[in-house]
Amino acid sequence: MTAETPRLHLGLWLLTSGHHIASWRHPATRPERLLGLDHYAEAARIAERGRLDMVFFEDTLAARERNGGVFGETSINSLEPAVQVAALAGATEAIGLAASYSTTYHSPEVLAAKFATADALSGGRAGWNMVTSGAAAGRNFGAGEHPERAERYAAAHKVISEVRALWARVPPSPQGRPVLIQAGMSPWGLDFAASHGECIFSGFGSLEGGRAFRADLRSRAAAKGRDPDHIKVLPGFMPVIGSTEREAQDKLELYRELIHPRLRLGMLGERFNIDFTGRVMDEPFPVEEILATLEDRPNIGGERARFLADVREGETIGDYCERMVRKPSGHLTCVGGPETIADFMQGWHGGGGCDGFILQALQIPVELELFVEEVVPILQQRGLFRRDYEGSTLRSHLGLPVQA
Amino acid sequence: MILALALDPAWTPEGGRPSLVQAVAMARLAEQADLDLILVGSPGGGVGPDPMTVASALIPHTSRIGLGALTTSSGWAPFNVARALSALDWLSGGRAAWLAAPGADPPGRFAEHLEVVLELFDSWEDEALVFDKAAGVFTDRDRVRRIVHAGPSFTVDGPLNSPRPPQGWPVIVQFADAAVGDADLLVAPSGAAAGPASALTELPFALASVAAAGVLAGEMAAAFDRGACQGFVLRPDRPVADLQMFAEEVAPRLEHQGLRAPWTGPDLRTRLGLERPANRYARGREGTR
Repeated sequence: MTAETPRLHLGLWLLTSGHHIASWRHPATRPERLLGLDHYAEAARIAERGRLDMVFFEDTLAARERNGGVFGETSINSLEPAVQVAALAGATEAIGLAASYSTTYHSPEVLAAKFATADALSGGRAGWNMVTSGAAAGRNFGAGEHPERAERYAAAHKVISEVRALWARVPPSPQGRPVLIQAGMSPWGLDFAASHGECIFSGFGSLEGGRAFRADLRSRAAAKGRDPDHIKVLPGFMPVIGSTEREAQDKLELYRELIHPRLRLGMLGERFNIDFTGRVMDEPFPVEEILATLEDRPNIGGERARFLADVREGETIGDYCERMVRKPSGHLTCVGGPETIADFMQGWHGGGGCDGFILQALQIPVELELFVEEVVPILQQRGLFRRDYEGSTLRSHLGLPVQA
Repeated sequence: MILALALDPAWTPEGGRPSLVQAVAMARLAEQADLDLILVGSPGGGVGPDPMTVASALIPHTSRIGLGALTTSSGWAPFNVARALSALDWLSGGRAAWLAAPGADPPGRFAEHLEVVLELFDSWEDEALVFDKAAGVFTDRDRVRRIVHAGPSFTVDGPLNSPRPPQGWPVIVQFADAAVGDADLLVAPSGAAAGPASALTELPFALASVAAAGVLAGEMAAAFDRGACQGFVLRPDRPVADLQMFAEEVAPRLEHQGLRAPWTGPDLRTRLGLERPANRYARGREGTR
């Protein structure tokens, strides 16, 4: 660490055609490329040009379908991420490569071997996002009942111990051991993060919330005997970049329009306990039908009230969708010119809200490239971000100590 | 004649096993020699490098050669095997092979595991990917099915959350003494009295000289010509040096004798003269949506 302004960290959440749910319909997207290596290699190289710390792959162990859901109407985001990370090792030189992998549905032996091998093959650039998997995964692993969250995390602590013991029998890579990443926000997830997580992907709407979360996590880690500076908190961040504010707003509107009616119905199906497939936008929005399903849920008080607060008298499904698409997406976002985006990031970072960001580019590669070419240089000029990689490992990019 | 390279790297070079760095060099040499495929991993055990990760890492270093990875049914859940192999096939452009072994499993469990993996590949029809921007349809959900497998050892709902691999299934390679069910290629140990004629015989070798290379080429041609095997799985004694000698001195002799031909593609199955498997659901088998 130098005596100058502390720098922020940037990762790219490399999600098929981009983070926007309808990015595959963008004119610049070529869907047939989304299953080949070139698309991901190109994205990783753009990120590397921008000197980002890492690219990151999420994962699930079940097809994304709930009440019809968005299964057919959005791009597939499920090429196995450890295969992708390994393939990208030879297509990149310095950028970190991180993959989500389940502690519940892989043995410690497989987990240890996979990430140690990726780390060795990449010259010390591997990271592992330790996930415990959602309920849908259980049905694909004959597990009987998918374990409840508390049980999953208890098991995960044991898995990490076993993985570490196995890693002790493997020669260290240039970074020692793979970086451990964590993203779950439940109380058990937070405890797990404070125990093992070196890089935390969080999600928070307000700076105050982000600051409180980061402070809480740092003090929990300290209570466990860890140096709080060795945990980096990166909230997801979805910038909407235009040359002007007006242009950025127009871009946001364009992406909203990319959400096809079929997809809007699918998103409703995902959100509520009703399959909306085949319904029509002109139909009345089925308030009573949805309320009836909320009756069965244990914590109905808050849910019913929140739902009813969202609903307007006599509106159609189309009206409801139109309004929902305009609501804040739950992502941390900023809409404006490059300077505005940089100001926002600087405010969060300087205000103690985070150690950096995990970029959720609307579309890949176009919006990613725009960020690298327009926003990163401003951050660099302000001394907030590196101009060049100083080391060659993910740990060195993240400012984490070499781990034995 | 089919030629494969056995690649069994260790963390550091030891007991004749190449290091991971050497593994990349060997892959390049193997492609230079126009070998058909690389088979990563051997059923040895211990905390060795993960074969699937090694095979995947070889994708950008190669463009034609097949890439196969060992998995064991005792060590990997079938859903994870299917996803990893699907990604290996997609990202390599149709070059994936699956070296399927039982590990510690009895034959029955191994056979069921293999079956589940194939069912998962077939949970997506080839035509499921539509990419229709105007209609807003990326995947035709009517062409994706749950498999609802409920067997003695595995209960798997499906569908897989990856599309059907470009080859249909990766090329399935098994060890001859443990083979069950579907197999495209078998691997028999060297010195086996008479391996199945459909097998590739493992061939440990060392090449101290050009003359030795000539002798090896002759022996390989003779074995192939008398129908003893379909080809060989090469195990060079000195991983890089002997493989280099093979590429420079043996492979051209075999090609000259008409036993080997340059790669034509487009994928590994075509190269090996193997049929693309039809989707078993398309063959009238019931699935449930």
